[in-house]
Amino acid sequence: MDDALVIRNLSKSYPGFDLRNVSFRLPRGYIMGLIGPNGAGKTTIIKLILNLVRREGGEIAVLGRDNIVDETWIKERIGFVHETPAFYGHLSVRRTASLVGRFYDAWDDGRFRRLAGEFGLPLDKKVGRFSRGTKMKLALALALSHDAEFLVLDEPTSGLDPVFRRELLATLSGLLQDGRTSVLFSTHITSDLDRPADFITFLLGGEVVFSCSRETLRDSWVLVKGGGDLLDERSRPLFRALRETPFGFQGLTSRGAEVRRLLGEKQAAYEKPSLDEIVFLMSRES
Amino acid sequence: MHRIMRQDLIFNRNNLLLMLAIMTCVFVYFAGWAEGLSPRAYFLLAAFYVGASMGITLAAREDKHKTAALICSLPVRRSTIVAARFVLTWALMLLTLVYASLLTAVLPFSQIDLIAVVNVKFILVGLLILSAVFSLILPFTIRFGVMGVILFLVAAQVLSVLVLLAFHFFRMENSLFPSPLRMVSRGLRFLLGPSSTVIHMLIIVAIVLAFNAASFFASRALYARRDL
Repeated sequence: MDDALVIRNLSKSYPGFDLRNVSFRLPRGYIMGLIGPNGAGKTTIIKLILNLVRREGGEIAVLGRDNIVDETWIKERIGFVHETPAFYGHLSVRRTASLVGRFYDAWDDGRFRRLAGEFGLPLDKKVGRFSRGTKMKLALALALSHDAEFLVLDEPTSGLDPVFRRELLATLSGLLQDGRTSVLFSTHITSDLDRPADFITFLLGGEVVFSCSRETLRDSWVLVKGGGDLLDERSRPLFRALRETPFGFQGLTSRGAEVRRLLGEKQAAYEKPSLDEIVFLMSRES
Repeated sequence: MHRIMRQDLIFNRNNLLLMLAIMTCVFVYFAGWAEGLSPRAYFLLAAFYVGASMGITLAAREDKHKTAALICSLPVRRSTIVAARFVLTWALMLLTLVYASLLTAVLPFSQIDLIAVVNVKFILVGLLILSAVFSLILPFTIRFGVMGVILFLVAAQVLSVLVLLAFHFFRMENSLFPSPLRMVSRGLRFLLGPSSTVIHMLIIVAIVLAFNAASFFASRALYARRDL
């Protein structure tokens, strides 16, 4: 199976923030959710993929090619949505599309107009007058109009109304029917990934906590709930994250069998955690 | 590269048309009635104004709308963006010189001696002066945007004042060293006068090429290091 994206030992430093040895891969034809709290490094990784910031170490291969050596070839095949889409405010939607479209050999103006119609974008209105959500819709329409093989979407649902969010997620799932398009979808709204994401990469403090398929994630993590008296020197180290209250505890573990053996079946409750619970507990723990 | 140039021209269309109108009015007045300002100085100032305005307007627009990330996410290399802006700036400056020459030739009441400006020596010296200025301004503009231009202009003014003060207080103008302004003025007069030779002109061409090459490679390296 060939890969849409392979990242190996990627690193980048800013004052007060380090992205350290980030590695993960996304097979072609799938959606990956890149999740983590604000400041985890999601946008930095996306900017590194697009070569908008300079990497300090590691490798990035997009569609099998190095993202710097074959930058133009790769960008021709990437549809990109920035977390805060920036456009020339004095240009209309039509002019913006004409400006962007000129750079892509595979630009499909008919498709752009159809998407603009579906998204409710007025072609002759100046972009500077748009709300953040409408700018995001324009960015999505542009990203989807040049037959991109790899969509890189940085917080694409932020600022969108719930109806359009659902429609967008359905559109993304529909895109994958061809088995050729892949999507990297960064968000901190984990519910956006409940249905469409095939793979999840969770970032925390500039490091990858896990990167796996949704099935693996579902099968490998267990949420344990019980009374505080169950926690002792032997049980505590088995949890990746713990939340203690006066009424008991909630613990996240990838060593479910060991915890069950130690705490017993009746003393504690064992559940499959939601993505939201995993992110919440791990972020809180950090 | 032509895509970036075309895009920049489209963005600056209104600005360029406005400059063309202002430049034409000022030039018509200058050619027919004004006295005191050398036509050579006018030609160079017009070219400088157009070139600087192009770069500054583009940088200001990118700063205002934060669109550098948009342009750099398109299928185009950063080195191509820098090359396009160099070529466009120079093309517009040269077109300004050609336009000013044509106006001089066409205006029936023009008092400007066309031979004084349309000759190899003046053209090469003009290119030298413009290169010296733009080879310093362009890297600042490309790397730091409008703030870079402001920093450059402030730094250049402070440096000039310091040099002039140094010459004044240390009484260097009376020594073997001429003052900087006198030095430049003498140099230019020599190059434009009958004493300069083909060798001098070839040296100017080499310096112009060297200035621009150094400026281009510096700008390219600076822009490649810019995190967006």
